[in-house]
Amino acid sequence: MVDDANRVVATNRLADNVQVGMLRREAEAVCPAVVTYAQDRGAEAGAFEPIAVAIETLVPRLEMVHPGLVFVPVVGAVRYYGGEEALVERVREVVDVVAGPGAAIAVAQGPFAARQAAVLARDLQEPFIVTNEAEFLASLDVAAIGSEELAATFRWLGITTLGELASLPRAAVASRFGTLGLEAHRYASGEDRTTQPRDVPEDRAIEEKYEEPLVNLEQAGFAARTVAYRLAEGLRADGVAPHRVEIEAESVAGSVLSRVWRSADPFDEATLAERIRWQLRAWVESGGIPGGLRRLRVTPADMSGEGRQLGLAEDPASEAEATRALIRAQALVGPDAVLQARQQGGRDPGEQVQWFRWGEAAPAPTRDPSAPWPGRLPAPTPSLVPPRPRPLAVEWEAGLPTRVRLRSRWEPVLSWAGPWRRMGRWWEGEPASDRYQLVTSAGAFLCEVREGESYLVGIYD
Amino acid sequence: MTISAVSEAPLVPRLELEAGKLVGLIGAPGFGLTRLGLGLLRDQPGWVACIDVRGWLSPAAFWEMGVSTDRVVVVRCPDSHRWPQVTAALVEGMGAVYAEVPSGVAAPMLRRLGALARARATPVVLRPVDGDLPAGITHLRLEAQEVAWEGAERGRGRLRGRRFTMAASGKGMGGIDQIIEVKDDGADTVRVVSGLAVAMPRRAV
Repeated sequence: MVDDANRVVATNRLADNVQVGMLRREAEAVCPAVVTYAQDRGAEAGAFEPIAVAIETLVPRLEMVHPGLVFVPVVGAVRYYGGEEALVERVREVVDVVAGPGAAIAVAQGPFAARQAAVLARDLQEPFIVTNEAEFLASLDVAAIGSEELAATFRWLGITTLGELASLPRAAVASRFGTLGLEAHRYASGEDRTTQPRDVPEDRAIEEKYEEPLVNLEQAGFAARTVAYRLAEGLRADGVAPHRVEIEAESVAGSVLSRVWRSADPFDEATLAERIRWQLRAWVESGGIPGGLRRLRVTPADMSGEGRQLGLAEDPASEAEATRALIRAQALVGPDAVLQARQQGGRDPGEQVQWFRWGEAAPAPTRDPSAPWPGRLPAPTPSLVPPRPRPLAVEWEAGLPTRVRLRSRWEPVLSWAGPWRRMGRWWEGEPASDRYQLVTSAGAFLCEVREGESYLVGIYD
Repeated sequence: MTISAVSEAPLVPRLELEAGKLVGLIGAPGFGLTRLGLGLLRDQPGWVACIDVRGWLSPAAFWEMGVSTDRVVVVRCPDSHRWPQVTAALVEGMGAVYAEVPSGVAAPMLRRLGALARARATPVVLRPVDGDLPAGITHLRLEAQEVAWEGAERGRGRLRGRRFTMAASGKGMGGIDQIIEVKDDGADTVRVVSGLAVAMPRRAV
């Protein structure tokens, strides 16, 4: 089974040497007899639906992540069934009946730990109940945070387990690795959203009623897109996005079905439409909507402020991709190296720029851009400005520049302009300086002469 | 406002970023290639990332070129080992990428980056801070040759504009190497003013 990117996502026993993650071509090379099928998440949702229904006979209001992974809030059920072991056994029995043996079942206090425990349960081929969550998380490899790049960076720094990561000061991790690092630290510390259903404001829900019942998958897909669009539009105006949605469908026969879907990243319009479509398809194919769909309602929950309001020309999908890319860049180089700039007043090119971290609100300008700033250099501005003036070897004859040393070569000064006199902040002991534009056959440079020494302060590149 | 980097004459090549294509800007700092690169970014939709290896890129030049920095993010990455990862992450998600290339980045890494840019349809400008790019990496290669500034006269006046010549080559030139002349008016316009000559064929080594 291969996904949209032609990567193997599942294999069976007969596919010798084929491993999940391989490219389709690699799989065909190591096993020429292999037959590949495109992954169909809608069909998977349909196949998984009986399992979800079976679990719901024991515990209501489970939360789907994707076909194959479901979170079940068990606080009440554990008391009802007389303990975690008894509940797990009941769940295993009902799942075995509809899907056969092999389900990976794990119990933990939070979704992140439960998911990691389920991976262990799959390897051990028996249910796994986490009794001491802090200890369990601390023992996990740092790769469990889900970002390979960030995990590699942590390993390079000598941090190999989540316990070691959690022992670092959170502020230091956030400062160095940005949003992604902060999220990893939260997971490592056992802090993530719970699966307990919470009250949802009624006015956020979107409901559509159909005079002509929807009877086929094409109509259901269209309805999914429309509802997702309306919901995303409504939430975007408030700058929020849901991490959970409850999809409720009413059939012509009067039966009402509902299912909760959740996601670690907030749902955007496309992913929301996809989940609604999967769910409707699963219900339709399992015969759960007799006579057709008469009403569809989607209720968002667990809002986060990550749904920024977009401009008219902005595309939500590309916005999300750009945000992800910049968060990854922050994780690699640190948030202090992922910057945006705002114009402000100042005499030198460096002073006229106010830097601030991407993702944070721009601070108030420290220098008034509308002030006259006497001594300010005229345009064009050097496009390359070293953070600090760099010593520059310039030869002078009778106060006029004649040659400048660029790397290992002396270049004659063809022409020059200036000086622009800059009175230093004498009250702070800063000396006065003169700035010259020097033109050579290799380009033009902005040079500052201060106390008899020359410095490079900009390159007109 | 004049559209940047667009030829006036029909036979002169158009300098534009194309989806999934790499443009290489080769030459020592001072020839005007940074402003040319920024001009190419101006009309790109979506977010633009500029990878700044030395921490020298000045947004003041962005503003002069008419590039709005509301949707420009400067990513500082002096580490050549980390540079490929950072650049790849940005090529995957941003609308366009202007990347200074530190010395020490291996050719296979740059080829993989080119493949990623093609797959993601992200236009990328590569600007090595030192030296050249490996052959065959870029769709369009622009190598600075000469620059002449106007406006400064032995202590009088000020820099106003420049003309510089570049050798343009690669698939983006249809396989015909040309010497082109570019005019930079010092404000928001950088444009090709003429194709001076077809470049001499390079001798096989």
